[in-house]
Amino acid sequence: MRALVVDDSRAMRKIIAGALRKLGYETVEAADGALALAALQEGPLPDLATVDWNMPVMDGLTFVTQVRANREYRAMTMMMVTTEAEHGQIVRALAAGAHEYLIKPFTPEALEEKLALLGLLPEVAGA
Amino acid sequence: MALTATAFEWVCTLVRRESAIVLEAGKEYLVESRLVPLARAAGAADVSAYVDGVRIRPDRKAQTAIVEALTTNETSWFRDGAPFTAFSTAVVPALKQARASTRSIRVWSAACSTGQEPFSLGMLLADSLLSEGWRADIIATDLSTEVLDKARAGRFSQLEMNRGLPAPLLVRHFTRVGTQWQVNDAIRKLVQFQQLNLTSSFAGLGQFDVVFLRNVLIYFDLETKRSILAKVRKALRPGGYLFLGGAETTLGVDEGWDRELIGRVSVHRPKNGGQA
Amino acid sequence: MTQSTETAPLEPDAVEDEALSQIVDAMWSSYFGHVEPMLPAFEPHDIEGPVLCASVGISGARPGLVSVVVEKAGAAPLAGALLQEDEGLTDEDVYDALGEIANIVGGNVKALVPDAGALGLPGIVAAQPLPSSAARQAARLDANWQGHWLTFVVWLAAPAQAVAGHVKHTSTDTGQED
Repeated sequence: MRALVVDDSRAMRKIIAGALRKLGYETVEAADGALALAALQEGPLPDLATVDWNMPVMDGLTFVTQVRANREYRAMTMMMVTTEAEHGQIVRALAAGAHEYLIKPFTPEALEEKLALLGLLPEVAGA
Repeated sequence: MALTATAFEWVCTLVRRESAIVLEAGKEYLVESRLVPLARAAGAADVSAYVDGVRIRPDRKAQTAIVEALTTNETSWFRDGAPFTAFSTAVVPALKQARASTRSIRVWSAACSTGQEPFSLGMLLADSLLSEGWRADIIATDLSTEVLDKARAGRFSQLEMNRGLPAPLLVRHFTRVGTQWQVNDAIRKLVQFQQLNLTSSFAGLGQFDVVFLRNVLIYFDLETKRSILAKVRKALRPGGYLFLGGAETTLGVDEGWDRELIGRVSVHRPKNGGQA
Repeated sequence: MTQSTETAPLEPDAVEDEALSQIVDAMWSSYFGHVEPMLPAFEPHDIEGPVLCASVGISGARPGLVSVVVEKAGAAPLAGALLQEDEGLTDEDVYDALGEIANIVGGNVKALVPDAGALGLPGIVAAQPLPSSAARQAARLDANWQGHWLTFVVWLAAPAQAVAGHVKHTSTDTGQED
């Protein structure tokens, strides 16, 4: 499985991508929403995108909205991974088309359980 | 400022006795950092002074707080996933047929810890039964009155909320209160919490359609397991369901059960419909 | 003048030391569990000498600022612990890591502030943080990690409602005296 990790912090991209690779993912990284859209255009389409909210150039909510507007990207699951922690923000993200929502800070177990909910845990997990 | 050797050893002994968790030498810093908030709240000069105080004048509450501060381990919502899927996709629909005359089901979450299991069941029942005018009762029990107090409050930290709770259910059933999240009354009122030692009598609990008894039998010896399973059989209504932990079985322990596979999940049902 | 003390009791502030401490603790146990824990200080500790400071702004009804201040010598080890890389860290890496710490704490603090707006992107300076003059210190946590001091601090503008209530109350008093 392939994941696109979208976050403006290199440290956070490393934490998320590292946890995903341990679960058996191949990962690609993008530092903002616009770069993430460019990565999608290059293809192939990832199974999963983890999306930060607050980023320069294009924020995560805009990215999610744009991905949802494109039928070609329908097969990709999107999970917000962000420090935005209000009830209303989670509602907004789900309404925009995000499938799941993980609040920073999070542990690797929490990430793994969210992927299990989404049916996106590679069979080789933990191997 | 550093933790004294006496204080550290005393804490290690306490934690090993109460939780079977072994804190190795070199964990002094961890112990100190975890206990600073307790020491500060108690008005102690530092952590060693706080520990010495509790050591010299034994204080059950403070001892519990120390053990909890050093052993906190969030449990998950919908833990292990598959049993809850089996519950909502197979067991609840079957009970809808079997209990159509009473339109009411009772579920027991035994060893409910801080409440994630009974509230997870409550959220599933709210979606599948309550919306159709059924009545659902969840009885949640645990040995520890401390975890029951927390469960009853229905408040969970951000880290706890991150553990396996689907975002759409969070949005529907929880409200933020400061740094914590409160389970809404609609779900909370479905669950009744009470203290219970599984080795004692189950009289007074009533009869159940479903029992979740997961990852707790492992702590008992064979004789006790057998006795608990026999009591659970009696507490199940005819045609009821028992869910055990993934590594637990009735086989070779109590022979009064049939096993049924729902997907990859084994459920256990009393032989002869429970009339034996 | 004495009448001015007769203001309506201030509601407990949205963000207190205890809440900030819970947020920092969750952040630390999630990302720094593999290194020596951070020891919260019993007494406030002002860092003297060179520091690095990462801050994020909060907009909305009560604008605020959330900062993490670290002794300069402790910044690279802290970034290294977050990245789990000990060598070859650039200044950019250190700023990025501190910025992400401020972002994580800031977002969780924002969720405690009623009617908060957006969270800003992190900014890094080699100086103590400079909140706006309208903001008051709402919460603070000092801690020591591997001999280096760290300060987490939250400033918030006063609640608009409490200010309005205060003004109304005082003017009534003044009216009676006149």
